[in-house]
Amino acid sequence: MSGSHTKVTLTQENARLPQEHFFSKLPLAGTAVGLASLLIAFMLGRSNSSYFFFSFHVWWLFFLSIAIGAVFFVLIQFATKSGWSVVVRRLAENISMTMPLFFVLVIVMAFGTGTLYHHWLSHEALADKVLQSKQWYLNIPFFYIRTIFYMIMFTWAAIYFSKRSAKQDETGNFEITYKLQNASYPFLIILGFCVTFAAFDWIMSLDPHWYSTIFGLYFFASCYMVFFAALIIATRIVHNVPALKDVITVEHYHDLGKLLFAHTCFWAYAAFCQYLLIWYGNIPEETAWYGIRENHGWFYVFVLLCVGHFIVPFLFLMARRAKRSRNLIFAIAIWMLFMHFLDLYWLVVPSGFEEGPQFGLIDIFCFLGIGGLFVALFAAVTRRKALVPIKDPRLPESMTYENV
Amino acid sequence: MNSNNNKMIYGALAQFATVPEVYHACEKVRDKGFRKWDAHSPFPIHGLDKAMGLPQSKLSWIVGATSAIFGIGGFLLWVWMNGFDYKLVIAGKPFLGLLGYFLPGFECAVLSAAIACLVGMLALNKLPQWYHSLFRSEAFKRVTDDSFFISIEATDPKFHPVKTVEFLKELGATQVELVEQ
Repeated sequence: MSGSHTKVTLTQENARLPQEHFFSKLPLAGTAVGLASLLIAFMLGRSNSSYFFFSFHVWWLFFLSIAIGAVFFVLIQFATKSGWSVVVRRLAENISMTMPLFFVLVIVMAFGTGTLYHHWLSHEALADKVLQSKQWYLNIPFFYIRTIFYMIMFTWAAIYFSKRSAKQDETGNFEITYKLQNASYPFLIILGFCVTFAAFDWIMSLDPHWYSTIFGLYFFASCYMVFFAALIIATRIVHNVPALKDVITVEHYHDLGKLLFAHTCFWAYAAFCQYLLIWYGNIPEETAWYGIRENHGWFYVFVLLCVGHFIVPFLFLMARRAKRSRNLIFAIAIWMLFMHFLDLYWLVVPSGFEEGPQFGLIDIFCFLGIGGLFVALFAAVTRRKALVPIKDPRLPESMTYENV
Repeated sequence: MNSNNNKMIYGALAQFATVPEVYHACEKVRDKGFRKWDAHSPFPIHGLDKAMGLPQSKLSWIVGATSAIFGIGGFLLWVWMNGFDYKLVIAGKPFLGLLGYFLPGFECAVLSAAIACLVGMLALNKLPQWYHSLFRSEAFKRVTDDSFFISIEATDPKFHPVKTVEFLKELGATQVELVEQ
């Protein structure tokens, strides 16, 4: 109603990344940096292969969780018939399209399975009464069948939605929107189970004695949280394309900020629930998991997570001004990426290295390796399509949207 | 008219037929510098707060402060009760098992926030209010049905019984009347 929005007509031409935009160079640069870094990480890992696989697993999970969050976001936008998010939905689709990369990287994990999951694969595990009864679930063939199943489902959902959404750019067919809405519901149910069991398999089974039924929710919360951080960063970077100047407004940053705020609280809620029940129940096989993660060097990571992953963003993002400032929200998004890495590191690495964190060169090269390939794939997908679903029936609603 | 008569008048009431008319009229009333005035509509109009130049609501500060005080208060209540006043061993936890006290603290924060939100909203809107001078106007009855209004109070320093009525007529009002106190 305010009438302050100038009407922009988006076309296939002006809604694309300009040729000279630095994003256009990223596919090549990212691949080069990624492959070179992975090679260096492999070399460094030859003398310390155990730590290499743990570090690789953390960074694999880190970027994978962004992609999983993106898949969920796209599906939820269709399921809820959301209008506000249309202008940022294409970027989310592009993030979700990095899913095939993680499918490929599972191969590296295959070499590390014996290292990562030695707690339920070693000879001592076979003699363990508790682990014997879990063997129908925790065995190599079933583990890989499940992992591949999750990856197929996530990749299928990502491709299914991105492809049809891109097709709508050309045809403008409204039927596609209805079709994707109907497809989103069954997908969401199946993927909900997938993310829960994926968290059990990839992270919780690192310590097979330990169990927490809320762990799937915990992982989902952090996936969704870190996705919003990544989307804010991606939006901020493509925002300087001239045609998008009046399309993506401060209102969209405000909403993304609100969702980031909500999901940092959601993460804290799940984390606190898990901790409180284990503290209260005081059962040895449950408290042992926290026992490792609260002692030695891990204590500092634990405290940093409480403060940096919840208290700092909680107080910071509560302010309306912070959410409506492009630079402040960008800064806190980067901070949350770092905190999410720390969270995963704290979940994964202590099961192999109880004495404390040992950040090193391997971590940096694994980050550059997987991150480089991730950014390269994202940029390659982004370059090929319009940055906004230009013929989505809800695009006008999204462009004139305002927070009350 | 003299100032004596002015005291008997509540203000001027202008009726508008459509949403865009009342919306743009609000912008002009705002730009004219009136302070004590209001717009009335049967349903919320998006962006009207900007057209009226309303500041951000203070409600969030009321809710935030209340819930912070009660949240910390609820936490300290348990610290005092279970840690000092009436020590009980519960599930082998220490008397000052602070972790468990976050729950009553959180619950107090949420409950007090909800109550502060409701009470604060009513207080800021000066509700409940059983009578309002605008109810004297026959035309104003349609405000809950299909009509839009702008009212400017006589206590506004810029109010003038003749000029303000003319000003409102210029804005495209279908009808302008002076409402008695």
